[in-house]
Amino acid sequence: MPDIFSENPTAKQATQNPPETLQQALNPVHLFTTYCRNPRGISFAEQEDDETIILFLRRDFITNVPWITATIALAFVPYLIRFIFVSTSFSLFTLPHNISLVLVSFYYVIVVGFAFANLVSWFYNIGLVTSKRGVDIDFVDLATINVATASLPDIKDVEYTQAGFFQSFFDYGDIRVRIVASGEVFTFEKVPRPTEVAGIISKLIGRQEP
Amino acid sequence: MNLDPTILLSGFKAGTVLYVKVALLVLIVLYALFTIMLATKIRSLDKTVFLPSESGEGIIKVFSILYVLVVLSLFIATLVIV
Repeated sequence: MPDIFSENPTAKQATQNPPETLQQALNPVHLFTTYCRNPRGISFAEQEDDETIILFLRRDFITNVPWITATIALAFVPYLIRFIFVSTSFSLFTLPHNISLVLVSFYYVIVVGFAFANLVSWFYNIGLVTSKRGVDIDFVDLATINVATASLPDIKDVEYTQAGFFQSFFDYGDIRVRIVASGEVFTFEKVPRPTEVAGIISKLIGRQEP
Repeated sequence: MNLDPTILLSGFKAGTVLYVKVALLVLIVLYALFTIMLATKIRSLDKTVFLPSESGEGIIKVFSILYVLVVLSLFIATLVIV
């Protein structure tokens, strides 16, 4: 008698091992990656076994230019002050050499800290679009971690905004995802290629609808 | 009563240096707390999202620890040198 309801071993093997074409399509995520389709080696807490990450997003790298410029400017401030004092022969007070050394070292430690805090804030502000939901991880003001998720069936619509010259020129913008039940808006801020991202999420929502 | 201005000035200078040293130590301690908080947040984020080694996450983690050590070293240096 044929065993109709037994599990098909070849089918199970196929689900466990994704097709060769899908494996080849996985892309590596590097330090400065801001947009990656089918990222390799990324997962998150509470990710389900059958859930695959389709999109990996970060703020566009160009959004880091203000703090990089500020860091470079701050690094030259002691030289500038010294130059002004020397050229005008002005001396407000004279500190012992060892105190000046510690002060300047502390100043540079703070400047490096400023740059590092901004880098960390950019690095960990991650948006993920999976086969089941959207995940937005925000590292807010170095004290708060905000993780927001929205499952695909709950998403009502997707819209994107590219405001101003820079966002259009460097092709980045905000993606807003509206959630059905609560009406809340879930935002991926300043991500690259907003048109593509909105298209991918729209396709995924369409696939979920009955 | 003998009021020598040079002695008074040197005393004033020593007092100022002491105040500067204490202020520096307090500021460095506060900053050290901030850096420890930053390193802790990086560790907790590491448990929220798992990034591959090629993404540079390791570099950021190592740098955060090194940074805390540098700030603590600066505190010790201020305590000893100044």
